[in-house]
Amino acid sequence: MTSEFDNILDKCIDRLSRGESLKKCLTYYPEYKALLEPLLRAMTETATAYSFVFSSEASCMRDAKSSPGETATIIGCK
Amino acid sequence: MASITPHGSKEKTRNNETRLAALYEEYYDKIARYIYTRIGDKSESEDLASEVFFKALKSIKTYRDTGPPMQAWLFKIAHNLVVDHLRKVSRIKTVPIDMVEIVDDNDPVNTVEKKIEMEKVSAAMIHLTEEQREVLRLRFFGGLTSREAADVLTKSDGAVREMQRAALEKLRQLLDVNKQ
Repeated sequence: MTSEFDNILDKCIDRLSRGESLKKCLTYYPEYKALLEPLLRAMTETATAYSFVFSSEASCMRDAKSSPGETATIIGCK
Repeated sequence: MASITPHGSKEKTRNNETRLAALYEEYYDKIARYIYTRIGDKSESEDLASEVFFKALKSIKTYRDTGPPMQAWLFKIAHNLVVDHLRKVSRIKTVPIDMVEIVDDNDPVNTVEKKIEMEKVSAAMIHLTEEQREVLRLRFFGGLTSREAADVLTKSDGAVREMQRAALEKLRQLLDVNKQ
């Protein structure tokens, strides 16, 4: 039972990570809705709290300066 | 005994370099965020995330296609770099809320709300075990599947899913408490 629920929760987390809505996700497992919903809300709250953006382009340029040839080629830095 | 020809080996290395380049696009941010949640310094996290890819590039010949997926391998490198970094600085920082770059920073109200939310989540995560925190970092911030997270942590998928559920149950309680 616990293992089955763990698997369902895991699938829902994957779905939410791919951008599916919580509401839609819950429709796949109506029998688990009451258990799933609070956990998935905790998950979205946690993930959203750190949803700031890192500047990969700026970092890429900085890295390319310190190691121009090889790095720039491999990681596709302009 | 079968052996890899120099030509085959070079081609394999080139293929892996191409895969690494593709993963840079997809995983740089995720790895930087994963590192940030552990060391709490944005600029340092970006540097370490870049270092992950340099290290991967340098040791690409040692990457085995039959082992964990390449993204899990990258997170293992990230994990080791973080451990080394924390050892060097000899202190574990909490996430410095005032240093966070918020996406919608043109809206001061939204920025403040996001900072409060992050502070609340950071405070709640302190109550989890280190293993539980690591599972959530790899799953939610790193974007790995539970199987990939299991590869990084050298645990079974079942153990990761169990830790994930236990961590979320704890977080749900803590976050609900904080709302009251």
